Order: sequence, then structure tokens, then C-alpha cells
Amino acid sequence: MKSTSSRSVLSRRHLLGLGLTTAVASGALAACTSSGTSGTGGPASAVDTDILPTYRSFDEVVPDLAPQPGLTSSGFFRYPDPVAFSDSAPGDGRPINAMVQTFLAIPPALPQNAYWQEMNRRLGSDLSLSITPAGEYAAKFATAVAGGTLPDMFHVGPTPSLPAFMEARATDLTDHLSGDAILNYPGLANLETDCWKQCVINGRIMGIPIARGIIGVPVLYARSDVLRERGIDEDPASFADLLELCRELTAPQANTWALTGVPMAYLRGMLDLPERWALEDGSFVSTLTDERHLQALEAGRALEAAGTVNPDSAVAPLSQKKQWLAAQTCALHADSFVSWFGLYQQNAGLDGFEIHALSVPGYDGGQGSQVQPIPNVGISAINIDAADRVESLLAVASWFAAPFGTEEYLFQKYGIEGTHFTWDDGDPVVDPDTANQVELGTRYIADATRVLYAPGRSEVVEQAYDYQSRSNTKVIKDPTLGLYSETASRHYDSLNGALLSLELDILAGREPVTAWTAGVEEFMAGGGTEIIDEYRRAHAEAG
Amino acid sequence: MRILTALVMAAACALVLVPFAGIISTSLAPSDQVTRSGGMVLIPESISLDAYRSVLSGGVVTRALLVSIGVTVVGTAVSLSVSALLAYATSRRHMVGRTAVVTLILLSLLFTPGMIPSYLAVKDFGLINSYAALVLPVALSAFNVIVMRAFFLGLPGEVTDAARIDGANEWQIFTRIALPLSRAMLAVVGLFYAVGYWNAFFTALLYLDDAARWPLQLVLRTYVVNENPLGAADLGIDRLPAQPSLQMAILVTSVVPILCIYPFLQRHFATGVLTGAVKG
Repeated sequence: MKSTSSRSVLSRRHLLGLGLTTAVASGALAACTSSGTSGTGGPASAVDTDILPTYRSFDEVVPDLAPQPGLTSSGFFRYPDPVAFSDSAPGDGRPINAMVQTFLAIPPALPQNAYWQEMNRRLGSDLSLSITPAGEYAAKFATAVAGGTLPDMFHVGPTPSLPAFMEARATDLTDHLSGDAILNYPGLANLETDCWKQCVINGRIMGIPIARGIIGVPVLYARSDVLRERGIDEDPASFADLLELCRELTAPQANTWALTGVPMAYLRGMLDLPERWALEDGSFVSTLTDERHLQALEAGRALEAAGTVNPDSAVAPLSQKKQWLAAQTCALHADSFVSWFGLYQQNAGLDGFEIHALSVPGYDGGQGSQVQPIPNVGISAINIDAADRVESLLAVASWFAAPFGTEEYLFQKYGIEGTHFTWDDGDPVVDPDTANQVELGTRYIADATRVLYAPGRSEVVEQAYDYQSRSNTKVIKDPTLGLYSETASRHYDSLNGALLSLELDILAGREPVTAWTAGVEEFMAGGGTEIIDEYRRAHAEAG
Repeated sequence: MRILTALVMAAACALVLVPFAGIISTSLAPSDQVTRSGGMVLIPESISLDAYRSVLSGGVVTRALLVSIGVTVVGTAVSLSVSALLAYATSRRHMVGRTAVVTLILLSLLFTPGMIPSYLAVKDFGLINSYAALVLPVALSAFNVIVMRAFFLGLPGEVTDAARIDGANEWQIFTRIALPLSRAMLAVVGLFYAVGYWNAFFTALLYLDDAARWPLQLVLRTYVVNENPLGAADLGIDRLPAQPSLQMAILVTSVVPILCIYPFLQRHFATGVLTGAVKG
């Protein structure tokens, strides 16, 4: 157990300040983004790689498509015969309180939830959950921090000065997870080493990654069936091809447009252009002044000017854009790679619905780059007040991270056989009457490494695997993984928000492309320069 | 000129009414039309009540609707009671410490507690995860107390003096004379409170961990604004209508009850609002 004597102590006033600042922080969870909280500590700091946990993949389940390190995930055509993962219940018999977010419907309470009751039995501890819709988690987290009501385990919400907060409120997990120590927790050991970099703060492992790995990358989907109907069977090989394709798919008089929105990540990928930061000749730099940003914006403007983007795209939420794709109002849609399977699930009732991710070509031909953000969607932590039961709580986290193919994974994702799912040709089929019981949000405490699996759709798994094999040969990684910038943690969201707003104005034609340069200057003057300096120092420290 | 005015007015009305029409139409449109249109529908091909049946079938929305009605009714009653008592007391010239109390009320208009101090207070009172947390912290609105106090100050002294001569005590004067004369003002202030309770979602988010206790507005925010998808099981139904229809049906359901109250209170509005506006 680590001594706490060396910790920097946060006063109640400081915590209140943190909470208040957090409460007004907007939008995305800072812990999930590159907004300065991707790891480590101090104004600018980096990961000491010596303390990172050992990676040991779970190999008792053999995938149909073997993972290629750095290129692809494992692919499964059927759910394998479930294997047992743990010998005994991980809990210590004492109640466990946890605080999580969810992007789905709030599940029924414990008395009405057979799944939750069974989970408590299997855990060997009663799990008490505070489940908050993701959009409101920042406020809930801030009040819990300031009110001193953080539970035993919690998903870390947006927090300026993350190192100070984690030192004051989270249990140091280094002695339990560093190196081979993690092998006592095989579910956590099955998470790739890179994921842990975000959890290292001031040289200590202070959290557990909520890993998504390479399935969280942005892609541009096309309605394959729509393209086939029009005799289009090849992906665009350059920007000119993309523009031509979009023109062909657009018919405003028929209420159809090619794109649900301007796919800026895809365009930047075509130009091999990192969105904000890059490593050039081993040193950390900003790409904001790169001329290719102007070229990407010009390309986006060209798509808009050609009338190929749904005119409501700027104000439409993601769900609306998915509806457009389903209704063939649009045939191309930018989304996350993991949505590949979700889009099929959502449109299971649509005859002929078929999608694929477009390859990323170079702007003028050749191969473009696949953008790869930070591999986690955040981190979770164990309350410092629960440090006396850290081993049991880590065992619980490891159980939550039970790998695909295990009985534990099957239960966590699909529930109880006969109550929440049935088997159909080797795949679990969810019962819609009880499906809402199963999502408790525990995946935001710890989660398994993601694999490619779409029940009943082996061809989709193959397509997704093929896409990964092709696209991940040339990638743009977010270099801020494992680096920390105090200025970014406080100001990046607002600075970046202004740039994104300017980008929208440029794409809509309200501002000229040249306005980008002035926007970048404002970004730099507002704190961007400090952010780059801090990241640069952090990167240099990391060697 | 009249035609131009009419055109401008019609355009202004259309700007307001067309979105409402879209909301109602989408909630009533058949699912396949909503899917085909990619979201909103302005003119439904046929009328389908599936979305309303789903919303009111006993699942999360129905429960939240009942919670909202309960919180609004109880909260408004509590708020009106404590506000009227405080306003009446501070309007009596012989009340000891009246100036200090009124100053405190006014100060609360200038300095409002933020989210976190409020949360700490609610937590220290042991109200977390209780319906009382939705009512007690906001039971008293200084603005409404000032409005009510102004009204009570305006009551003719002769009336209360006459009652006193007839042997009435302060409580009897308050309940049998002041309150019956204040119906217009009570209606308006009651409406202010009711709308406040009906629309509140943030207090529920902070203070209620159990989603089964959530009021309608938090459900609305979760499933319509933040777009967490609702499943058939959440609504207690077998087949789910199109999500946009469901979302718009929830929206309509959340607006209709409070809209229904307005016509009954409309006639009191001018009297009630003007009272607070001219004397404080």
C-alpha cells in the first residue's frame, strides 16, 4: 500500500474550486479527449514507461480472424463456447458504491432488475450504482467531488488539474498494477499497454483505462446498397473522385444529398494531416499553422458549395444524421468505426440496408491516413477512502473487463440466458422486453478489450476486419497520449471550441478560408502557445 | 400598409407555429413515414397514436409524468403556503424584526447560492435521493414573496381593523380576509411556482440517484435533448415507434399539462402581475 504522506493535499476550498470549474466546463469529457488530461502530472509531464503494467492477452478463446498487433482487432463470426474466467466471486462481501455514466436508457432499479440482482450474486458484493446520462455527468461529478460523496469506484469526469484531483481523491494503484503485478487481475492485464499511459499521473498508476483501442477511429460510411443500385462499385481514389461521387448521389429535388455532414476527419486523413498536434523529427509540434488545414477547409467548402451536404447538417444531432442514412436521405455518413455494428442493429428492420467504410485515399490519389485518437474513452478510479479494499475492488474491475468469449463477458453484455437473451445459431439474441435491464454503465468502471463481432452477420465482421487491415497500415496517432498540459486542461476546450466554430463558419461560407489563419493566431494567443510548450516539455521528459 | 402588417404578422406567427406543428405532426405520423423522411414530418400521411400509446403505457415516461405532477402539486402548495405566510407577516407593521427579515429576503435576490453550496446543504440535511430535495430548497422564491408582500401591503387597513374589532386574531384575518382577497395574486404566483417545479430538471439530476424517481423534464432532457435512446422495454411495450415520433410525443406530453392550466388563470393575470409591479 502506498503511503499518502507525500501527496499534495487539496483543501476543501480547492476542491470546491475544482468542482465549480468543472461544472462550467463544457461538452466532451476532458478525460476522453486530448484536452490536456490524457495522463501524468505537473504543468507539463509525461509517462514513466517503466511502471506501465505488463500486457498479457487472454488466449483461451481462439478468434476466427486473428488480431494483427496495431492493425486489427480480433474477429469472431460466432460467439465462442463460453469459458470460465474467474474461479470465485471477486467481491469481498461488502457493498460497493460506484458512479458511472451511460449513453443509453437508464436501467430499472435493483428491485425490478433481475440482471442487477444476478450481478450482485456473481460479484459477491452488493453493487450500488449512481447512473447518470452522459450529457449530465460533468455536473453530477462536480457536485460529488465538492460534496465529498464520491463513491468507492467512479468514472473520472472532466476535471481541470487532474493530477491534483487524482492525488487527493484516488487510490494509488501502482503497487497492484505495475509490471507483472497486474497479472493478478487478468481482465486488466488483457488491456493493451498504450491504454495505461493515460492513467499514469505523477509517475504513479492512479486509474483504470476505459479502453476502446483501434475501434474508436473516425470513418466515412457509405450505403453500399444505394451505391450498388447506381452502378458504383469502387471507393473514391482521390478527392476529385469523392466530389464526383457526392455530386452523383445528390438530388435536392428528390430530398437526397450525398453527405450527412462535411467529413473533416476524413478530408484531413486524405491530406495526412494531424488535426492539432504531431511529432515531427521526434519533437512535439502543432499542425494548426500547416497549409494543409486550408486545403482541407477548401475541400470541405467545395463539398458544401456543390450542394452535396444535407443543408440541415450543421444543426442536426448525430441521431438525426443516422436517420438520414437509414432513410436514404443521405448515402455517406461520418461516424465512429464502432458504429458499423450499431447501425446494422438500429436498422435491422430495413430490407437491404448495407454499409461499408470508405477507404481513405490520398487527396490526389494513393493512400491517405487513418486518424487514430487516444485509445480510451476515459479513465475510472478507486476512491482513496476505499484504499483498504483496493485488491477486492481491482478484482471487481478485472471482472468487469472479462474478455470476449468468457462466461463473465457473456453475462455482462447479454444478461441471463432465457431471461435477457436466447441462442440462435451460435449467437446470443437479446430479448427486447428485458434488454433495458442489462446496461448498468459498469463499462465505465472497466471494460473488456473490444473485438469485431456482429451476431448473425459474419460478413460485416469480415468487412470491418478487412477495413482495419487496409486502413491501419498508415495512421495518424494523437501524440498527446500520456502527456499532460495544465493549460490544456483548463483552456483547451474553449480554445478548440472557438476553432471548431470558425471551421463551421468557413464550411458554411460565412467566413473565408483565410479566416482560419487569424483563428489560429487567436488560439495561440489565448493559451495555445503555452499548451504546445507544456506538451513539448512533457514529450521531451518522456524521452 | 395593413396588408404588409398582416403579412409580417403572418410570417412571425408562422415562425413560431410551424415548428410546433412539426412537433405535433411528427408525434402523430406513422413510423414508416418518419423513417422515410429522415426525422421530422410536417404533414402526416395518416394519424397514428402509437407514440402516445407507447409513452403513456406505464413505462418510464408515464412514471415520470406522475412524479412531475406530484412534485408540482405538492411543491406549489408548499411554496404558496410558506410564501404567503412570510409575505403576510412581513407586511404587518407591528411585526418585530420586520426590516431585518425583509432585508434578508432582498439579499437572497442579490446573492444566490450556486450549484455546489446548494448540493452541500441538501446533503447535510439528509435530503439526497428524496422528493423533498426537489421542493424544500426552492420552496421560497424571494421574488414571489416580494410580489405577495406588496399585495398584502395594499390591503385596506380599515378592513383588517374592522375584523380586529369584531374579535378576529391575526390568523383569522390572514385566512378569512387577506387570502380570499388575494385570489388573483395567489393564482399568478401559484402559476409561477408551478411552472418552476414543472420545468425543473437540474435539481432532480443532482439530488436523485434513483432514476425511477425522475420527473418528466429530466426524462425529456435525457431522451430528447441528450438523445439517449429509449427501448421498448423502457416503455413497457412490444414494438417501438420511430424514435423521432417518440421524442416528439414526450415533448408534447411535457408541454400539454402546464398549457392546460393557463386558460383557467388567464383572467387573474393582469391584476396579479400588476400588483407586484407598482409597489414593493
